[in-house]
Amino acid sequence: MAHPTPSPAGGPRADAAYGDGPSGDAAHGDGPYGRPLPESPVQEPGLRHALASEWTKIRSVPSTVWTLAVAVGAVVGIGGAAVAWSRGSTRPGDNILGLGLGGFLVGQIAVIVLGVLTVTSEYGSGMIRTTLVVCPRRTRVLTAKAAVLAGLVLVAGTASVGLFAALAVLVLGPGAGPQPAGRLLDAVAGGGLYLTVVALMSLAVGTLLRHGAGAIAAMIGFVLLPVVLGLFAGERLGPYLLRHSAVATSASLFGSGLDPDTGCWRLLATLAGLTAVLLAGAYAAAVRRDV
Amino acid sequence: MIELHELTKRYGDKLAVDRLSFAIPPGVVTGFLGPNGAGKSTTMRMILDLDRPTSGRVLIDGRHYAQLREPVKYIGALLEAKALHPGRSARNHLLWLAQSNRVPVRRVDEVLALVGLSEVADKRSGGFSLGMGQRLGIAAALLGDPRILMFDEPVNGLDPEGILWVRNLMKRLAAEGRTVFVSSHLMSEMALTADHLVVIGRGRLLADLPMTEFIDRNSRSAVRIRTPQPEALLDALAGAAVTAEPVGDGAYEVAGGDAAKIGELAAAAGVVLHELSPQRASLEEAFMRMTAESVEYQAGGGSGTAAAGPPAPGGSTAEGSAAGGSAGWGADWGQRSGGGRRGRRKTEES
Repeated sequence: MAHPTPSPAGGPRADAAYGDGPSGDAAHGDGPYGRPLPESPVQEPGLRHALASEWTKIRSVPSTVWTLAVAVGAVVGIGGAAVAWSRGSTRPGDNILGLGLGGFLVGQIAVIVLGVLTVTSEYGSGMIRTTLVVCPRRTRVLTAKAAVLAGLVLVAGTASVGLFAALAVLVLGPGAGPQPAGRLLDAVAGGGLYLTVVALMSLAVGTLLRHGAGAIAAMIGFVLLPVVLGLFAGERLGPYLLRHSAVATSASLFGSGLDPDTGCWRLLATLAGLTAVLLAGAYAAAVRRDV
Repeated sequence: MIELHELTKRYGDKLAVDRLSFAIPPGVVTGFLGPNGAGKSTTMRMILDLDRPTSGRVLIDGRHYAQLREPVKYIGALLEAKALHPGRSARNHLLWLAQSNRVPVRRVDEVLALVGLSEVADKRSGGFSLGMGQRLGIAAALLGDPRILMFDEPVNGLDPEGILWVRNLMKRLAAEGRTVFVSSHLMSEMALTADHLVVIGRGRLLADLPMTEFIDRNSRSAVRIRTPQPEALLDALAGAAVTAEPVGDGAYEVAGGDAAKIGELAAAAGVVLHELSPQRASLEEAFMRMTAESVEYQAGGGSGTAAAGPPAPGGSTAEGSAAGGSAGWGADWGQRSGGGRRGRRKTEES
């Protein structure tokens, strides 16, 4: 890592750049501070500027690239491997999209990490204070973060499930026969939306907990625990937990749900509703809290 | 101009900031001093609307912080040195700041050059030293060319050259008519930078006065004398209406005394002197004395008795040397907490 020595690089040159003399003569105009003080701003910056700012933030850290690469890689890579493995063993009428479920379940863990880190990395470093000093409207900051994250995950999620689906149809289609259009839509559009909802829920939980490891653990627990608890939670609660678990919701999107009576979109709506509640809590906490 | 009115912050049953009222005028560097835990950072966070006051308010040119339209162009703040995402480059860090408040993107390169970070602008800031992190934080504060600047401990982690640079920068910013508000726990640093001082301890205002006044009030001198014939000397001095106070270790001090005159009096009385040395209280000592009562984490128990405020004459001089010049600040909190001069003397005798 290059290390600038303050003496030649910083000291004198910085001073030279600064202007000449402590007078800071406004008429001089030869340094950044030779200009007069800025005029009183008239128009408030809006959500547009917060969005641009948050987009710069999310695209300029390696963790975004890595988590998205892992998510796409898991959906396409693991799904693709399952497709390759099934070559020649499919029968007409098989749900070949169901092969993507494994990669999708792994991929959503990476999306959880991305969603959580989007906000907790700021709390962890104290950068959140800088963010809120430059943008004191906290709801706007959270909205901008959520919008940028949602857009990114929606595009990457839909694309990766779409890529997997194309691969499956291309390779296994001749053996398994044409797939129903509804099932393709469920998997591709539903899968992209599901990952977006999970990302937003992670953002909300990250905002509420302000701690990366804690929020990631809570989210992974949310995905996995209902499946485990559902087995032991009694005759009434158990099946409910199993049916509505994130894993079951994912499975239903890929046409291999536990309960064919509850459609995948209804399950997705339930998840979105819960996310909305958590986001509302995150907004309330962000507005009220000291940072 | 930043005005604080009865600003109070309570955490549970602990008062972090207690009815703090003062104004930060433009055109000068205002030093914000206090021991660690005195409430400096909490106060700064309340000014910036990060922490909500329990009561009281802060006005920035008559407005609340949240009413500022483009805060980056109005207030530049350095709160923590490395409040950065370690994976983000310096340029991108400044870029998102610029975008949030419609600052022209060319300002990013200007401020990078200004703080001497141009060469590492595209490197991950996680690899920066503390000093480089401070420079980047200062660059961020200057980004919007703001009229108010707030720096929380800006020289922490800087090398001597960096400290000098920050000092000159702050003076220049103030000379341009900006409001410069700098917190520090180091009186010696503030003595070189600040024109005005605000001193707090345990969340309460201890002093709000121009630096020159602080120096006048607190740099009282004294003369230290050591002699094998104390009685004879004291008699001789008393004859000339000069009072010497014992300061322990067999030494005496004359507050505000003139060394030449005391030497002549001793010679006239035929008293042998082993030491005759003018003493001068440093501002550091004056500040420590002022805040000793309000240090949050005291090494010993008990509440002190020394008055908060400028030191009493006679007591102002011995302290530094008696406590041992090499002791860091904080090394003698415990003995101070024992209460004023009595506690100090006990330590000296032991």
